[in-house]
Order: sequence, then structure tokens, then C-alpha cells
Amino acid sequence: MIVHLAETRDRPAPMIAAPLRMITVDMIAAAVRRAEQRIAPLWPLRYFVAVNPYLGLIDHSFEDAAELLAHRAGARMTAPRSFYAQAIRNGRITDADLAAALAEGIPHPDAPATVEALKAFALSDTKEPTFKPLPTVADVAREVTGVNWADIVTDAISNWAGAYFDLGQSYWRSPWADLPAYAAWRAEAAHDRTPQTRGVHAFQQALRELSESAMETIVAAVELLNIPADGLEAYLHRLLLTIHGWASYARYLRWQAELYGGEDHTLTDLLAIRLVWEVALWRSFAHKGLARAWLSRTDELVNDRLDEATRRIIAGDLLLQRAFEKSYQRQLFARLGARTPAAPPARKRVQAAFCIDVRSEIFRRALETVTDEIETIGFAGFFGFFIEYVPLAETRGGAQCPVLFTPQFVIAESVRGASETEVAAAIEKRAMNQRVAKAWRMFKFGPISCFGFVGPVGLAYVRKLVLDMLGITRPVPHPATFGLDAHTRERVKPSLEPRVIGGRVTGMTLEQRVAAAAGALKAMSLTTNFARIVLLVGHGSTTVNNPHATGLDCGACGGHTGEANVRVAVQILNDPAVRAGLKERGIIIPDDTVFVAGLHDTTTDDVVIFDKADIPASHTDDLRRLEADLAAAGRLARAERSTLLKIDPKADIDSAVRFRSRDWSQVRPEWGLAGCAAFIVAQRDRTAGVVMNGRSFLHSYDWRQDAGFGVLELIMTAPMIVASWINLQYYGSTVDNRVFGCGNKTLHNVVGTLGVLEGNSGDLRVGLPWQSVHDGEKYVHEPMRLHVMIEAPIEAMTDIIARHAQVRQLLDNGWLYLFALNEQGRVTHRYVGGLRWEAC
Amino acid sequence: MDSTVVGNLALLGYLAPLSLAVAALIASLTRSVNLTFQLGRAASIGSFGLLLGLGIMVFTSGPMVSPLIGVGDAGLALRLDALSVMMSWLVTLLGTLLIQFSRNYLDGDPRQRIFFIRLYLTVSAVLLMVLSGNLWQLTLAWIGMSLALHELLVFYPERPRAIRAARKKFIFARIGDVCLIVAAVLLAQTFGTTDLGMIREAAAAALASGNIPANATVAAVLIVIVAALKSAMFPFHGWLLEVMETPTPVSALLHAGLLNAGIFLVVRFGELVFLSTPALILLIALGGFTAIFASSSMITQTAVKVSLAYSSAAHMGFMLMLCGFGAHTVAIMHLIAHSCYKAHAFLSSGSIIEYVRNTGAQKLDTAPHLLSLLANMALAVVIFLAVATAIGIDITKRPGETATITIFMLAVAYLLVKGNTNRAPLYVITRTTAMAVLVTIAFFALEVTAEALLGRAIAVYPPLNAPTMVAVVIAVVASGVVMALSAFLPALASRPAWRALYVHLKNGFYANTLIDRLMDSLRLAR
Repeated sequence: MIVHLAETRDRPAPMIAAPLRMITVDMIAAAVRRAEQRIAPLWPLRYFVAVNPYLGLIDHSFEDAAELLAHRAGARMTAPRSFYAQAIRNGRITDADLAAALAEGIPHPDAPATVEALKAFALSDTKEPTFKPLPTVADVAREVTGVNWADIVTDAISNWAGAYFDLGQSYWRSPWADLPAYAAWRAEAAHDRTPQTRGVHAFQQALRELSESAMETIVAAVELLNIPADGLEAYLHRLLLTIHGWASYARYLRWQAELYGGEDHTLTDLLAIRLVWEVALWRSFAHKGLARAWLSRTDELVNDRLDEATRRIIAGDLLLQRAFEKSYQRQLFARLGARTPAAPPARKRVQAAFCIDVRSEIFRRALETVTDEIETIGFAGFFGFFIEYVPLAETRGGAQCPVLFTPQFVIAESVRGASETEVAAAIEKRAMNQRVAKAWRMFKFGPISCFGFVGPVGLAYVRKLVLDMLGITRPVPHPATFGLDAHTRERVKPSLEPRVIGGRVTGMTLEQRVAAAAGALKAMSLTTNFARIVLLVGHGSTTVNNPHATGLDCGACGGHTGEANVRVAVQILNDPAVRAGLKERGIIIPDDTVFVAGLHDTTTDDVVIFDKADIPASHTDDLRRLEADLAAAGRLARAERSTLLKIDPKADIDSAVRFRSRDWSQVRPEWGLAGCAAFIVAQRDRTAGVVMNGRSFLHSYDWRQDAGFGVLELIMTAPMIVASWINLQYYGSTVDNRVFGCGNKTLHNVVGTLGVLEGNSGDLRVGLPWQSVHDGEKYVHEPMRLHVMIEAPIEAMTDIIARHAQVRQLLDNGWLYLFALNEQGRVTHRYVGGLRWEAC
Repeated sequence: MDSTVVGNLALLGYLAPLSLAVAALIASLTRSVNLTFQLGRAASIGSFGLLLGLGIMVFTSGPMVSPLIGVGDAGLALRLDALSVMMSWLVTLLGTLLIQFSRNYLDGDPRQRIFFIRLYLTVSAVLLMVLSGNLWQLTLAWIGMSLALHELLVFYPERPRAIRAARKKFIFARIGDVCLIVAAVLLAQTFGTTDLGMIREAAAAALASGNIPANATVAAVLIVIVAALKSAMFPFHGWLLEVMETPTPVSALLHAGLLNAGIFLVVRFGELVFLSTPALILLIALGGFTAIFASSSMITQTAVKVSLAYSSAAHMGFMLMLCGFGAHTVAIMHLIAHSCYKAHAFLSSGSIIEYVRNTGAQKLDTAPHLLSLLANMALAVVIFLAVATAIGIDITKRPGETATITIFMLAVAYLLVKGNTNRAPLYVITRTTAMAVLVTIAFFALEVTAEALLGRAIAVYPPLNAPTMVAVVIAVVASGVVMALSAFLPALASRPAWRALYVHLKNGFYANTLIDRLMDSLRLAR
């Protein structure tokens, strides 16, 4: 096992690797780029989608990344050892699992190498490793002065960043918010007396000496602080990790800019800001011994490596994690493969397509239990419609497609059955209601005026406190319907008709509709055998008072509910003109097939059907039966979920589950995707009846219909990647919630409407709350890399892996597992890296 | 009713804090979170009911004072009057709601039971404090509630920022305790009694006769200092911004409950405070400055709980300023209203993202035309005069009251300005004007009700001497200027001096930074 494979590649040959190697501007710029790439993006809470927190490290093996993060962030990549010890004691991890884990190679030569040794390691009291991250000047200044400069610097930058990036929480916005970050920060820092007041007397001097260009500042600081060339990337990465949350948000800004073909330098600016603090501290306390102390510590940056004892322990923990995954594989594989391939199905009463989301698995299984006349299908919940959905009275909307893509169409919300003037009136009314609400908000929060608000109005909050507590009212009206009167509220729906909003053309032309419909149906492997009703079910959650609410919505819809996507899809697929166009492309949809849009509420397991008025009378009976089936399935699904939700089995489970969606004090309204561990790409009959406990993404796919394997390629490069992002987000938030999670929900403090602080200050937090992975007694999400299982020819998969560097990195470096399934749904081969497979 | 019967009846009031303490005691012996929760909720609801009943008796047949429980002059006594029972309703109502909220909010926290125990003890101590009949109980409960709160603030002892902030608060609180003890000793010596009612009467008599004991004025100033420390007046407000390192319900309890103790104390000793011009001026100066400073700083804050903390400091300042005006009933009504509002604001702070979406992106909107500002101010005056005349209040009778009403009028004018500028459609103008009228009616209705309910338990509107009048006028004018400037902020914000002001305000004029540095150099923080 070679440590830090990627880094050693970047480094020069050992004989000139002395720390005194001359450092050039190009080298610094390259190191900055590499350090920045190590940071994963963080989406704002308004559309909080899952991100692989290790995204910048997938060029490292899982094991190497564990060491690197331990050293640079003090982070761990495995659960506490007691977790594995418990699993060994209660027999979840068997000797065979340990042996299987060891058989795949040992990450460190001195790591436990036999089953007995590994077991002894797990059950012994070997200390949990405590990592001492690489030093920054702030860390050393703390050692020298006894004052916690590391926290002070993080707080100061975070305080500034909260105002600079604010998306609407403060009324008096930063007057420099329109400038690039570094310029804005410098302008503000010139006025800010905090550093001097705190005792950093050379702060203004440092600010003046350093350039107005971020890159020049970085170069100058690196030279001033004598950062050795070979420790440069490690040092810069370490600095970014001290402001990890804000750096991640800046990385998101870059992600978005690049997605649309632009560029963004906010992240570099943040690095420069952090370096100004390093220089300022260094200057201020140089004479107190900091200069000497720092110089003596810089070689730690070059020798960017943990001590052997710690590495051995990490290696042991990683082996235990692998063994834990082996135990899951063993049990999972045993359950799969018992099916005999079904005969080509007769025409079903209903085909119901759900999102691949693991929460659909429970509901689909429940629906199949209720009746065998319904076939269920799994596909990414945006159903192939890449749209931006613009709510009534707004000019921009969120992108409702996976974040790897940009929307292709802008769809505007409109009012059913309303004339153009009625729609315009509804829009104007909503805009005016928002304006009144805004005036009221300013009264409520204005200087002096806030007193006039609270005195006369405050008492009314007694009523609100009681009603909110009882779940009768929401603390705040839902934004989706705010400002609309009841009559309009019931009638809003997406409009495909062309219109111009905010200077952009919305809607879709017939040609675009046909192309989108054909693409979606082909990707779903749904081109023949249409049932009388084809139900497309998006999903969303219902929670109140939950800053991370959108994180429970549909990731494939970019952190929105799937409502707009399914309603658009259904409008298009029911359109006779579109069907005629599809016929020309060889997809024949029978005239008696009706597409129906629905939304699965993952918190309550209720499914609502949209636009019932558009469903022809001929299908009224079918619809009524379908709704009854869905209601019955909902009850089954709630009963299954109630165990994990710790609902008393004797209680009224249905209302207990539903109350969680209205309970403002509820920190676990639902379990989201916790537990996600597998991703199965095959026809449903391969897995039908297998109880996956809501832990598996299910993607319908029939390779026999996929000439050229274009669909397979799409699945392996988009849904598979997104599923692995979700899985690794849960993984990171579980194994090290301090670094890759956002901590305790009861301490959350929303900043700038874009993220949360934990407590009153500190860095912006990334990832998931602790409450989303742990129920107080045990992990509800147990750390587990994703097991992808695909029924497709091995050569086809190998070919796709070879052509996509990111996919290959993820697989070869052990960030997820890939297996091949046969027609019975049995696992036949295991991908072992290097484009090779092994039978199993 | 016989006075001993009444007194013994008042003793029933002890059942409220006692039941919560007993719930805490039983909870410390059990391991069941559910039992702990059920007991506490029952105790809290029971206390609310009991105090509601006793309170109705107080409002129908006058205040009740329990006999002294103790030895000689030393001991505890309960006072049930309009002020204390209203405060006790507030405390038990909020207590009940917070206990209920914490059930699911802290579900799964391995120390949830400990949390409940500390919560019960804190609420119990606050109840004892507000129901105090004498200086002994007041002082002991005052210190006790602060210590109990401290345990809630360090509920997560592994959080260094929590420890640091709690320690900062601890230091200020102990300074306050010393001041309170000195004040209590002075009062007992001066008036020869520890009974709060008798002290109040003696102070009222002294004010009427003009024969004011020197020690009484010293005590009055000390009481104001205790209140300033308790209610986070500038420059002692820093800890308040930092104690969000503990679960949200604790913040709600602190901001809706314990923070108010300072205002309660000043109002409880209202007659005494009226004896001292320096005390009144200190109230107006500290309170007024904090009100303006913190409410201005609030609008620069971007973290929801921090901006709520600034808001609380501002409201505390405003109420202490009102106390300086002599508007004690308005201050108490504000206290109750603010508590309900702030409890809700903290508990619902997770909804801020939706709230911001509903109220539009916060670009600084356009500044009003000067004429528009004046017209809307005139409209506010008209609305206020009309409502006051309709209700039959002479708003010029008492200068303190006139000042109070003027500030509320400024606030309503601000609402009108914000609603009626930037070519507002008629729909918006009608709505905001209707809101302004309703707010004004609610204000006067509450003022009248408050004086009717609290009038006998609370001293109001002393004659103000010249120096105090000057302070009052300065405070009102400053409020007007700040209101006008904030209306014009969209036009001013880009000017260099205002940019600098933005930075200084956002950083709270560095008062807290300075205290941080002091703590570090005295090695008071790890």
C-alpha cells in the first residue's frame, strides 16, 4: 500500500525534496488550485442537496484519504471502535467477515493481519486515536500566548462571511456585498477594530502590506511565513479546513459558475483572507516567540504524515469497517437471487413510477403487497425533465434536476382555468401581499419600531405559541402558497405555454416536448406494455421549523419536491400531439393509457394525486381503486417505519406519524435516507418481495432494451454518482459529525438563510445533523459504503468505467462497491478495481 | 376575609415552586425520561392553575402576604399582588410550553432527564423570585435562579464556547449579586424592615414628604445596576450574544424569562427608584442607549439567534428606559408581550428561511421622500390623537406618559413610511394603514388595561424634576432621529461614514471584544 499516492506523484524526486527548494509563483498557484479542489461544495439550505464530503479526495484511496483527513482536519473516517466491537460480540461481524476483509489487503504493514489479531484489536482497549492536525500560525500562536487564536480567527472570518454571503436575513446588508470577496473583506477590515481590540496590533499593518490581489497576497504570505514548497498544499488545505464550511460554500459558488460555463474565485479570496490573519498573528506575536516557534514547526508540513502508531490504528479501524461491510454483503447477497425470471407481464392495471430514493422502496413494496395488479418502476424522481420552476409572482426559480446538470427549460407556475388577466391579477395580488408582509417585517425588526411592534402585538403570540405547539398552525406560512388566496392556491399548476417572464422565454415547444418525453420513457425502460394508468410519483417531505427541510426533499429535483416535474411530465405525456410525435419515434402509447401525477410525502407516506380534473371520466374507476391502494400502502409503510421512529405499537400509528410532519419541536420528523447502503439497477422482478428495509435505491433497467448501452452509461454516470454522494454524506456525518456533519440540531443557528452555525459562532457547518443519523441510542445510519448492483453485461460496465475517470476513481479507490447481477437477481461478480472483476 | 386566613392562603402559593422542585427531586431518583417529563408538565400546569386561582382572588379582593417562615426576622415570605401573580402566570405558562417543547426537541439526548431537572429547578427559582414577599427570599431566589440557569447554560460541558460564555455571565451575575446584597442590607437598615410591601410604602411616604434617606437613594442606584447587569445593558450585553451554546428552549427561557428579572426588580422597587434622580437618569441613559444601539445593531446581524439576542437586549433597554420615564405599567405590559413574542421567535427560529422567502429578498428598498416621511409622521400623530381622544385619554397629563406614547407613535410612523413609499399601490397603503390603526388601538387598550390591573401594585409616573426631564427629552429626540435615519438608511448606507458605522454596529462597538480580551489576560477563560 502506497501512502499518498497522488501526492507523491506531484512531488519531485526525493533527492531534491529538501524543504529549502525554491518556491515559484507557479508552484504556489498550482498548490492553491489543488488545495481548493480538495474542498467539497455545500449547497445553501434553500435547496440542500447531498454532497460527497470526500469529493476532493476521490483521487486518493479510501484508506489514504482517512490518513490525510486525520492529519489535516483531525477527522476520522470510521465509527468508534466500540461500534465494531459490539458488532463482533453480537455476531453481526463473523470471523468469515473479518477474514474476507483481510483478504482484500492490509492498509498498513503493521496492522492486525489475522482474524484473531483483528478481533483482539477490536475488543481490546486500544486507545481511540487522537489526531493532532498540522499546525497553522494561529495554532502555534495559541501555544505561545495561551489565547485560543484558532477559534478567534474562525469566528472573525465566519462573522464577516455571514454578512457577505447573506441571502436576506439582515436588513442592513454589507455595503460591500457586490464586490469580490477579498476586496469586500479588505474594505470592511479597514474599518473593523476587532483585531486590534483583541490584541492583534499588527493587523492593519499586515493588511496594508499585503496586496489587493488575492493571489499576490497568498504568494507574499507563503514567502513571509516560510512555508516550504513541499508542505504548501498540505498547509493551504489545512487553512481552508479551519474555515471549512465557508470554503465549502465558496466551492459551491464555483461549482455553479462552472456548471454554467463561468468561473468564480471566491474560494481563492477566502484563502487569502485566512492567510492575512496568519501574517497578522505572526507579525503581532513574532517578538513573543511566535516567529521562532513557527519556524520550528514548518517541517511538520513537509513531513505530512501521521506517526506510525496512529497509522496502524487507523488501518485496523478501516479493516473493521470493511469487515462490517462484508457482513452486510453476506446477508444481502443471501436474500437476493431467489427469484426466477417472471414471464413477460400481462398488462397491469397500473404502472407506478417512483423515485429511486431509498424511501420509495418501503412504499413500493407496500403497494405491491396491497395488490399484484400494480407494477412499480424506479427512476430518478425528476423523471428526466430538466426544468427550472418559477413560482407565481417570481422571475427566477430553482433548478429541478440533479445538480450535475443545468435545467433545459424554464417552466412557469400558472393558474388552472384562469384567463391571462386573471393570472396577471393573481400575480399582482401575491406581489402586493409580499410587499405588505415585508413592510410588516420591517416594522417588526426596525430600530425603534420593533418596540412599537412588540408592545401592542406581542401578546397575540400566546395564541400562536399554543396553536403551534399543538400542530394546528405552522410557525410560518408555507412559502409555496404564501400570498395566494384559497381559491387560487388550489388551482396553481405548471404551465407549458410559452410566455416571457423576467426577460426569459418559459414553456416548451411541441418538438421539445416530444424529445423530452421520448428521452424520459427510454431512460425509464418504459416504451412498451403501457398500463391503463401510468402513475408518476415524485416525492417531498412535510416538516415544520426545520432548517434542513429541503434536504429531505428530492435530491434528483435539486432539493425540491418532485411536484413540478411530475405535473409537467404528465401534461406532456397525455398530450395527443406529443403522443403522435412519439409514435414517429417508435413509442406507441395506447389511447386508453392515462398518465397521472402524484407526490409521495415521505414524512407521512400519504400520496396525493394532482390535476384530477384532467383525468378522463373513462378512468374514474381506475383512479378510485388506485387511490384506495395507495392509502392502504401508506398504512403499511407507516407501520413498517414506526419501529425506527420509536412509535409505541399500541398507539395510533397513522396519526403519530402524521403529527411529526406538523410538530415544530420534532428534530427527527422522518429518517430521510438514513440507512442507505445499496443501489440496485435491474428490473423490479429481480428484487420483488425482498425486504430491503428502506436501505436500497432501486433503479429499473433492462439492458436488453438498451442498444449501445447509452442508458447504462447515463445510470452509471449520474444516478449512481448522486447515490454515492448521498451515501457518503451520510457516511461522513456519521463517522465524524464534527467535521463532516452539522452537529446538534438543538443548537442550530441559521445564518444568512444559507446554512447553520452550531451555537452562536464558529464556522458554517456542512453535512447532516447528528439527529439525522443517530436516535440517541444507536446509529440509524450505520457507516456503510454504497453497494451498487447492476444487471448488465460485465463488458459493458467495464467499458463505461474505462471511459469515465470520475467513475473509475470512485470505484478503484474504494469509495463504493460494484457488483454484477444475473437474471435471477443473484450477485455473480465483484468489481475489484483496475477494470477487473472476480466471480463470487 | 381575616388577614391570617388570607396570609395562610397565600402560603399555598409555595406549592407552585415546590411542586417543580419535587418533580426535579423525583426525576433525580428515576431513570425514566417519560416519568420526568410527565411529572414536570403536571407540576407546571398545576402551578399555572393554582396561581391563576390565587391571582383571581388577588384581583377581586386585594394582595395577599404570607406570614414569615423562619426564625425571628429572618425567613421567607410570599407576596401575591397584581404584579407578582401576572409574572407568575407568565413564568408557569412559558414553563409549561418549554417543557412540552423539550420533550421531542431533546429526544434521544442521553442527558435529557438532567436537562428537565435543571429546567424545573430554574423555573422553580424564578417563581420563588417573582413571588418574593421580602428581601431574604428575593435575594436568595435571585441568586438561586442565576445558578440554576448557569447549569442549563453549560448543559453541553464539552463545548468550550459554552463554558466561556457561561463563565462571562457568571462573573457579571456575581457582581450583580453583591450589589443586590448590599442594596438589601441598606434597605433593611434604612427602613427597618425586610418586607417588600412595607419598604414600598415607606419609600412612597418619603417621596411624598420629600424627606429622602441618603441610603435609600444609594440602594436605588444599586438596584438599577443590578438590573443593568441582569438585563444585559451595554456594555454588559456580550454574554447574551454568546449563550446560544445550549438548546433552543434554554434561550427561549432566558430571553422570555430570566432576562426580564432586571425590569421586574426595578418595577418591584418602583417607589424606591423614584426617590433617586441619579437612578432614574441612569435608567434612561443605559436603557435608552442600549435600546437604540442594540435595535440598530440587530438589523446588521445575519445569524438568527444572534439577531434575536440583540433584539432582546434592545427590548430590555427600552423597558428600563420606560421605567426611567416612570411608565412602569407600560414596561410590565411590554415585558409580558415581549416574553411571548420572544419565546415564539426562539422556538420557531428554524423557520427563518421560510419567513425570509415570504417577506421577499431583503434588498434595501428605496428611501422615502422627506415630504413622505413628514406626511406619514403626521398621519401617525392623527391616528394616535384620534384613538386617544376616542378612548378618552389626555396624553399630555403626565410627561413620562407623553414621552412613552411619542416613541410608540414614532414606531407606527415607521410602519406607515415603509408601507406607503416607493409608489405603493392602494392595496398596500390601505393594508399598512389599517395595521397602523389596529396597532395603535391595541397599544392604548393595553395601556388602559395595564393601569387598571396593575395600578395599585405598581408605582407610576412620579413628578419628574428638571434633570430627569432633560434626560427624557433627549431619549425621545434620539429615538425620533434614529427612526428617521433608519427610514432613510437605503439612501445613506453607501456613504463612507455609514459604511464605517455599519462595521462598528455589527461588531457591537467592540465592547464584548474588549471584555474577551480582559478575560484572556486575567486567565479567566481556558
